[in-house]
Amino acid sequence: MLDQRLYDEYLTALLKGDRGHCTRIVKGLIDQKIPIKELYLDLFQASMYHVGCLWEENKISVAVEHMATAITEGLLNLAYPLVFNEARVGRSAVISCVSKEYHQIGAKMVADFFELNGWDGYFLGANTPAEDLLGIMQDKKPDLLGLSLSLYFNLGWLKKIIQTVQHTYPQQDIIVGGQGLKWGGLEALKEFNNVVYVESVDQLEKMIKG
Amino acid sequence: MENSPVASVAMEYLFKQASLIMMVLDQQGQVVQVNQHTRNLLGAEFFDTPRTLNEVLVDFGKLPSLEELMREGENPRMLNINTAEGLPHTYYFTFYKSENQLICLGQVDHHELEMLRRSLLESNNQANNLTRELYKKNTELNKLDNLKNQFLGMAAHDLRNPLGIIRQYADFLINEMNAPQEQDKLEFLNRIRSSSDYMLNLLDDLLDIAKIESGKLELNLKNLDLARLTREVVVLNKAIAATKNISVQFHSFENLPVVSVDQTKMEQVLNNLISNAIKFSPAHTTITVSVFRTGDYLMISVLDQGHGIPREEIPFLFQPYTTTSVMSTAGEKSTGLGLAIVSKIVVAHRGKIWIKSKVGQGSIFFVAIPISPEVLRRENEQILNVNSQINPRLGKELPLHVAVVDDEPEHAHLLRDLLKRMGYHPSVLYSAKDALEWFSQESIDLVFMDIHMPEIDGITAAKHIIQHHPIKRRPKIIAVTGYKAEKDAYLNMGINDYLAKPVNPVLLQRVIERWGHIKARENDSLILEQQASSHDASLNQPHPETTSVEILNHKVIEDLCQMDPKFFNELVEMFIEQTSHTLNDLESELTINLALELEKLRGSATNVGALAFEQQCQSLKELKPGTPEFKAQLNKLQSLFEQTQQALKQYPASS
Repeated sequence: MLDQRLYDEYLTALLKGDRGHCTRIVKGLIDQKIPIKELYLDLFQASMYHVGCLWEENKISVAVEHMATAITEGLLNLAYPLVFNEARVGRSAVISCVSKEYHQIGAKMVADFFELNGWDGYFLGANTPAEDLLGIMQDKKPDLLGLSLSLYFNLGWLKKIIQTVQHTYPQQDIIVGGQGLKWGGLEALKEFNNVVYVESVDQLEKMIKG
Repeated sequence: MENSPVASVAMEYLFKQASLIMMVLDQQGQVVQVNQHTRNLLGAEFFDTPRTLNEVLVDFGKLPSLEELMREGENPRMLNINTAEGLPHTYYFTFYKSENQLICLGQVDHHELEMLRRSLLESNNQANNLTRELYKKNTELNKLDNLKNQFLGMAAHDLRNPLGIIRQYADFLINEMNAPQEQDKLEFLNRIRSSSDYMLNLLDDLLDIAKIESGKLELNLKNLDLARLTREVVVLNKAIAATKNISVQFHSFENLPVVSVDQTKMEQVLNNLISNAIKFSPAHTTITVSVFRTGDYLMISVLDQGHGIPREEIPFLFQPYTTTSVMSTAGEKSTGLGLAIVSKIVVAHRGKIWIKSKVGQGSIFFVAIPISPEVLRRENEQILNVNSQINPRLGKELPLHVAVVDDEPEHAHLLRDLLKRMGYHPSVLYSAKDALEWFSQESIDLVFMDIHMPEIDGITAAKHIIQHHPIKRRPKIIAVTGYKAEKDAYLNMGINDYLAKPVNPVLLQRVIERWGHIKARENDSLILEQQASSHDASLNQPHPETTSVEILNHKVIEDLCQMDPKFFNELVEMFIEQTSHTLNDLESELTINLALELEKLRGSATNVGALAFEQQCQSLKELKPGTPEFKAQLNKLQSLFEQTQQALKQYPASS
């Protein structure tokens, strides 16, 4: 269904900012009933990681990266109605990006993986202030709180948010993840109880099902 | 040209106005000169310390060296710079060499930015269109949902009346039919009636759900004695239960505050929960209904010894139109709406409902109804009024070894001084680590534990204490915290009580009294135990008079312990507290309504499986108070109480 040729075609369109072509490819895959996990990981995640690398190597500009992000996020909406098909298991997770961050695709996909596994996944958009986060937690009383960090230099904010949350909810189970933690920073999180780093979607799913 | 006026104007423009990056570097790559735009981008203070080019650029370890950049000459190169606002910006840099210096000029690709702008505009348009579409669909769905509810209500109403008529006429016919030869017809009529009954129930449920879902659930709130109401519903259900050989026990605690509820709706909730319990209980089992208080809630629990509900079905239990795989014990039908209605009614009262269940052992439903704020306020006012009435002799009357654990000296000292005023001499420890060490050597009765402490927090310390001390030798742990939000979690993990900071002296005194009495009794029983074990083992033989009746009904207790050890512990603590209180009153002949008090005692004894004690209560009820026979039997009750306490010790559900 999704082979190397189609992937390359998609990536080229994405870098050119050709939203229409990307949409056609994704719609085609959904029509062919591609498993959501495959679509998310092998197309969206793989291409966005690719875009990130190109930027780090100074091969594309911030502008192109933003454009690719905007297109991918729009495409996520195409798959969104399909993530609710699983029977509910009566558990819930709140997923939020660290405030001061504008990267929300990863966290959004994580929220969708919770839905795919029958949880209610509440996604709070990028740059959510801590008070709003506490408000939603008060409201939803989630079994899990997931925090996403895209940029390592926002680690301080991540720690601050965990502190704020634990101040009010000392027993809250928290998972953290995201590209921002790929380069370290895990040491800094050891001081917290009930905080677990989740490296991949597979690990996440194991945790959800376990 | 170099020194021309045009050049100097151009230079001034470049340095002060132009929106492009201009930096002059020395041979080591050190920035020696920079224009205003660059300063603005990187922040006012950034260039206060000497900077190299690498510090200006975003570096993932893939940056070209200075030599490489110089070799490239005038071909623009895409590089990212760190900005003061945190988000990197992309610029196209060109490097010019001039004598010993390197001039870097960077500009934005406007074509690319324009593309991005367009793409974002497109995204925004798309998102806005989607939002509009969703709003429209939501409105349509709401309309459809209302229509459905209206239709449901109408249909149910229009069906209800003719059905009522069918049922009524079936009744007439049944009553008029006496002849034995018409036995067949009688059976048909009975079927007509029972089917109409079922349909009427179903219609009532459908009407309720329609009403609730259309947001028309109106509560007629009145201050009510929930315990009384529950008792009445229990009495009504006893008759139905009796036909299935099931007994329904009721017990409630004294002095419960009134709560603001809708009587009819609350009756519906209770009826539903109790009749469900009857529906799913096998013969010769007991259903226990209790009313008690936890914190700011009045709780009703309905415990049965039925089949229990599989774990995976519990999340759907309160959803409409769901039935579980569990079969009713006498083929009773259910509509799958009852619990959905119950849960909606409880939630409308701002209450909570939940269930604990174990397959093969039974279920316990909990309903928590909030105590009205006025009642709580009045309680608080009373507390404030008696603020000056701290009992300075409490330490003498109720001697306890008390400890305070808090890392903040001011808080610790305040609590210490308050305790001193009540006549205690508390040990003060400034970290959980010290405290745990201290507790391993000293026996402490009551510990006030701060929750938020560095290194080891209060929760971890409490867990440690709970794990490492058997229940009777464990200090009662009182969490002292500024965050009320987590109190339920504290209590669930085995912390005995909590106090909010700043500590209210009267609440403190109450907590000491509440747990101090229990602890004192535990200590007494420990001493008894030690004496007993040092005496002849024959002393431990059951009392000769009671050999005929078992002290405890072990089956009941084991079931309870397995299902909810914490709840069992609470029941035992309540039983001990209430019984010692009532027995004192009985001995000093203070009791007014003796039969009621004995019935209460019997009820709480049943809850903890105190078989002999329960039966003795029953026999006492039949005697005339004040007679020598009564006194003798009361003494026996007293000794049974001690034996029961002793026997209950083998069930420290200390998990």
